Amino acid sequence: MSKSAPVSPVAAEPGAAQEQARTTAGHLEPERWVEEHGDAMFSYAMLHLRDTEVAEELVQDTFVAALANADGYQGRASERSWLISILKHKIIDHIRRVSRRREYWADLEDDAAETSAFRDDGHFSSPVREWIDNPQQALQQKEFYRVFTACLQGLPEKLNTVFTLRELDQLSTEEICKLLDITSTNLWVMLHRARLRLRRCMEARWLDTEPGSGA
Amino acid sequence: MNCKEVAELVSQSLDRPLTLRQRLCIRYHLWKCEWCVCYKKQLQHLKECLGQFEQGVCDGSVQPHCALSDQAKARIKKILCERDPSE
Repeated sequence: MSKSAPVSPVAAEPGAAQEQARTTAGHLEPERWVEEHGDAMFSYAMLHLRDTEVAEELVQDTFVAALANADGYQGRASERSWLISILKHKIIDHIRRVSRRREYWADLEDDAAETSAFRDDGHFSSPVREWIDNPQQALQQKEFYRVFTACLQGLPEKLNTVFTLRELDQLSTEEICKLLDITSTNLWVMLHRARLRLRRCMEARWLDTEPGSGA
Repeated sequence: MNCKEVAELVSQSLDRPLTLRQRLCIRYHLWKCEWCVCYKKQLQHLKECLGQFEQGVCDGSVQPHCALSDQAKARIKKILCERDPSE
């Protein structure tokens, strides 16, 4: 697929695959790595964190770890997938280190957005509309992710953390509860609030920019 | 059950198995509430799309929303070059 990579003929002998991995990833081109993948990795980290410096540090640590373990890269996944999987571990480790404050997580004050989403009798306060007919179209998918990214950044920090761990990093609820030392009930409440806010934000931003509306 | 309770359970259904009673309550509510039907579809759609988010980052269909500063790039490159075992 990738036409630029100098792919060697079929790796017939044992060791040849390893050699190829060395040339694909291991032929260390750190400058190219940073240029090609730096922004994507930084963006991924910034979806989880609000602190630019920390995100930069995690990206840097990821590159350093990748460089040290270049031999472990099998060349099966794309280079970026490999780097992102290392970055994910770095992000989760970071969250584990900084979020050992049980009371911070246990404190679930009323959420104004949740309150305003429903009337006093418990019904939705404004209509919930159908989103799109064909979510599979590439352009709509791209737009979906763009809007989602913008809305995610608008979430309060706690909700952002649990939501990204659950939906972007695909951690199980058990893993998240263990990582943050929270109860599953708390986690469910936070995920519910995050989804409620996200869907409202996405509906507002997305439906307003349907094809034909300019922009 | 009202929309607020149903919305909470619909969200939970994405994270844990609900009881039979809860599922029946949701179904009954959805039968008469179009907004909650849409809400449920939206959450499911969100979850499906986000299941492919990482893949999208890797294949470029998810565009970076922010960029490493030039200073950070230069710093990282320098550190990597210093540590490059192939050099």
